[in-house]
Amino acid sequence: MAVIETIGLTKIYNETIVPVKALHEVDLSFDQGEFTSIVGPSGSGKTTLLNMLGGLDKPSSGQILINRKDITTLKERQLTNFRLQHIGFVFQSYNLIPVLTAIENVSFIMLLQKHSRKKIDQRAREILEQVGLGDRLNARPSQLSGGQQQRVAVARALASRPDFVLADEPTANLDTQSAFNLLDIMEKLNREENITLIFSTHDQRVIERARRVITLVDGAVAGDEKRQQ
Amino acid sequence: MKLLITLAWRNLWRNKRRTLITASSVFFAVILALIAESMIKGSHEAMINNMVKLSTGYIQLQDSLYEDEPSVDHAFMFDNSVKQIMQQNSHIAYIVPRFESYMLAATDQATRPVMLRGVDFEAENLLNATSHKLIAGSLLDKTDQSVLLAEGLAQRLKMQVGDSIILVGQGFRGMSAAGIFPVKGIVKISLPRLNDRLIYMPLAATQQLFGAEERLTALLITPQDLTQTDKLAQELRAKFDPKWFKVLSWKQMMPSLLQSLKLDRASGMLIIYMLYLVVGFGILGTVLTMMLERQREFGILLSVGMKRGQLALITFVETVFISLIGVAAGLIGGLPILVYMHHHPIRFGKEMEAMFEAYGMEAVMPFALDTEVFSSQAIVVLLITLIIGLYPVLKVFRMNILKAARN
Ligand SMILES: Nc1ncnc2c1ncn2[C@@H]1O[C@H](COP(=O)(O)OP(=O)(O)OP(=O)(O)O)[C@@H](O)[C@H]1O
Ligand SMILES: [Mg+2]
Repeated sequence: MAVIETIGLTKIYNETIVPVKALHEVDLSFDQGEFTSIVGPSGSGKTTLLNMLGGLDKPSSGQILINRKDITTLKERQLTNFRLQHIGFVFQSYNLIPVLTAIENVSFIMLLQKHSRKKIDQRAREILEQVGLGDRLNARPSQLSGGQQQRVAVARALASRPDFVLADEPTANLDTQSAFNLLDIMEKLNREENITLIFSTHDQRVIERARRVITLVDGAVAGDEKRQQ
Repeated sequence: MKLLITLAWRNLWRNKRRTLITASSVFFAVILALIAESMIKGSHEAMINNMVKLSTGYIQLQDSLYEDEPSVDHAFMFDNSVKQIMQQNSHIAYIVPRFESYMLAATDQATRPVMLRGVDFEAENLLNATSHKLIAGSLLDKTDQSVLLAEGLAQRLKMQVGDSIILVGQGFRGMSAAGIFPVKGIVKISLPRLNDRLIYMPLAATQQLFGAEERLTALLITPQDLTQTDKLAQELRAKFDPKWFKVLSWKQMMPSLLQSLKLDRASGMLIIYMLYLVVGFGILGTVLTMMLERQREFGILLSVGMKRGQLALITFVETVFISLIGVAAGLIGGLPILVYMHHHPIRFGKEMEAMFEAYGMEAVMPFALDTEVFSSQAIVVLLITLIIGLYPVLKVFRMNILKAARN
């Protein structure tokens, strides 16, 4: 069953002098547990697509169905709550709240979701363990390397077991070793927790690891390739 | 909630130096404002006390008609029923009976209008012992049939101790009041207006002169707690039949003094408020930079599902925290300073001393020490903070999530 489905998704940026058509009639569907990479040249619309899927921006036309529910009709308050309950986010960098420790950063979203303290603590430890940071629970982001910070961010996004996780160029600021390391972790969590994961990237080495690769060119889907590994 | 407070608190210490600088600007402003306010209040209290003691007293009991027509015909009987009410009220420190009237004073060479004040010196000294200084002759006994002249008046009439003065006036209910009295002493009165016209006479002799035995033109009442003057006046008012009596507080009797104090206070407060304005902008500056620096963080927080209201609360609490730290430190730091200044007020130099003494005041800058000084400063600063705190709140509600996160 499709977790996410887009129908005729179009986004035109009107703020500029010449309107920019960033997405054009995109029809995509993502199944539960998929591990998908969105690729394409710079300016092809990857970030725009992820923002739409994450309910961070509204499309100009088209629908986004998440578990069959059209999120484009939601009001801001509902959308905020929808993001909190159903979507995990990993950004390119500086994902973490600098004044919170690793475990607090991971617990943060579950606290907003109002889970019980005990459950939150247990889950935060477990997932930090899984991303290999079981010994850095109380480190502040500034005390962690870029790769470690991204691992905490991935842990945070997955901790509350969202319907899917969106990651916009999560490895862009990492060296090769850290990038592979992060990919390994994302892949492992995707497999073990069966959480749908969609990430965008430029990086050819990273693309290799995805099980499905969607290529965008000028805001339209130019390729959609599923691989068996 | 706990999470939000934790975030706000930790954010404050993210840039320790900036927070401390901002908080200390509040701290210094609070201390300066405390000192200024305490000085204004202290000097006003001193002025009030001085004026009140020499002229009207804090509260007066009068005949109901006396205020509109201050004639001896409207002197009231100071009988047991009045005395009893006074004795029964535990908020009264002491009472000072007076019989006062304008008269004409004559000597061989001149005549002048004077103010004759019949007093009970024992009681009068409780109220204003320091305000009349004997400079020649001696003070009056209760039973004396003689007078004390104010220094300025004695000069104008060119009289000395041992001379006699003729006093002529209207007595009680059509009687005439006239007599010749030896001058027993000369006193310097520290209120220039009175120093030029006042004559003291023992109360009994005065009542006799006017044919108004047992009567008073005014009974001055001093409260135990001066800050409760209005309340005591209210209390006493309820005890007397308004058909016969009026109870007035000094504010009612000297509205112009009250007015000028208010004006003076307003100009003093203006300075204090300017001080706060500067501090307000200081806090605002800090808040603005904090907001700018954290655009991206805010964007991420809102992206992952924090409500705008929650984020706004964090920023608001941060602003309030900064100023609370400053206010608390300022109040704690200001307390010992004010306590010290209250007990060791600033002394003015020799030149100033003469001026102050002309008004019967000590040549010092008195500092008031009461809770109101502290609470009013705290309230003002907190109000300013709350207003400034609204700025980030508005910002958060208007913030574009994507733009913020892209920063
Ligand atoms: N806020 C905006 N206003 C106007 N145009 C925009 C805005 N955001 C993106 N665009 C334009 O939309 C198009 C798609 O941009 P998008 O950021 O989605 O590309 P991308 O594939 O993520 O690129 P990159 O690989 O460089 O991150 C580009 O032409 C871009 O200039
Ligand atoms: Mg992009």
